[in-house]
Amino acid sequence: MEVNRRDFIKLAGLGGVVLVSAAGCNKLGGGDPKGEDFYFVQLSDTHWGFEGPAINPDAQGTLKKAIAAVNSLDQQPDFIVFTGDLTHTTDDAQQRHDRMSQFRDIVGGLKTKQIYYMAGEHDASLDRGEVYQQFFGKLNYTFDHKGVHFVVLDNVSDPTASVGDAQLKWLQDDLNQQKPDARIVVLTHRPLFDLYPQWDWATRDGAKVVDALMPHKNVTVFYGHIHQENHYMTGHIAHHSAKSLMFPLPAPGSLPKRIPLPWDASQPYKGLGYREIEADVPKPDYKITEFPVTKG
Amino acid sequence: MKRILALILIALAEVALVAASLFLTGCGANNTEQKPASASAPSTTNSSSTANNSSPSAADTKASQNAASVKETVIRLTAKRFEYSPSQITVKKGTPVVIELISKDRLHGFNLPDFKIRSDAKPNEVTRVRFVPDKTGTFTFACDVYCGDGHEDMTGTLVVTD
Repeated sequence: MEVNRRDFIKLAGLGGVVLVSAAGCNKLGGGDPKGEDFYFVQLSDTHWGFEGPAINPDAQGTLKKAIAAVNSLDQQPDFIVFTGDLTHTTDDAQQRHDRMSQFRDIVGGLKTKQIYYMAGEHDASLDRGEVYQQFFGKLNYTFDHKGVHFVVLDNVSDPTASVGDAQLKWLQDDLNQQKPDARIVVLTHRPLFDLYPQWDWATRDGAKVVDALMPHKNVTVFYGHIHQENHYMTGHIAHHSAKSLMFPLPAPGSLPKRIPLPWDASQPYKGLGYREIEADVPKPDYKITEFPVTKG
Repeated sequence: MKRILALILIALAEVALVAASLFLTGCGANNTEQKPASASAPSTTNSSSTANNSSPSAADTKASQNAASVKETVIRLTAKRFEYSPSQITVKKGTPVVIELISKDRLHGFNLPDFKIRSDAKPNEVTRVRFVPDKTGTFTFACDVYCGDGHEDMTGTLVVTD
């Protein structure tokens, strides 16, 4: 299977689409002889309901443009993941409900119907995920696809940004069922390491998650939350953050405050973009290619 | 008579224990646990009846000297959605600091990663955070308990001078 470069560049124009692909026989299949080549698309931090013309004057249109662009790919992804902050937070439970409903209706327009959701703190921290679960189901779960084991972790429904002992035990029990060389992809919202806790860019007990993953040699983490790409290694485990589909945030610690970067009318969608990641197995070696939005 | 004497001895022993406790906990241990108050501060930890929710005054931030002659900078830091008051704290390197945390509305957090310090800020309850700043500079503290649209703005600055 091949996703052509033109498709990737189309995605750049939407701002905030992250494309994860694997090419070649058994690339992501690690140990599974039936492992096939596939790719999936990661969308993150859509913040449906956000209003701020100075930040994103296309707040109502960006997600829809992204969906149209994904739909226009010559070959559709096997599935799509949304790594949290589907909606922008609100104190009003009814409004939260309405935003979830609107978001679900909009993403219903995706051609690819296999969608995996996860919550962000904007979706789930004020009500411990109560409304989120009514629309999108469990906060943490696993699934397998063509030889790759995916683990969705919830580090937001507890407002202290903790995974919690119960979920840690659930994770450990799941990992105990996996071979040491199994291909494991962790999907979550917050960084599992202390990226910049001064801006609350961390998971309080994330180190325990990393410790649990450490015995497995083929683990990669994809997350959102920080509205920009970031690449970090904890030992042999790579962590890759995705861009937002609403507004970019400054680099960690680069400004006194963690405030959204303003919209630049001369360069619409500046700071938003996407990346392509190709897996090269048997080594957990990912080739990452970045594309500026201006190429879109 | 013996019974009265025994009661007096027990009372004296309790006074001695309390005094020892105050001395030990007033020595600027670098931790974030709730501790009994120092000799110079009222014992309001875990007490809602004595909690003061008013905005901090200049008196709240002035340095005070305790009975054990250990200088402590005592700071009342009030948290509410989505700000700290005061938003900037200035302390001196090497001088023990006691931050008295209290929330005006709901549970918040106080996270000062550069000094590996964090604590909850609870409504109607003073939580004391003690530490001795060992480096100068400007450091950010932030709420790490998600509290709504504006949580991301809930930060403050600790300035440590020579």
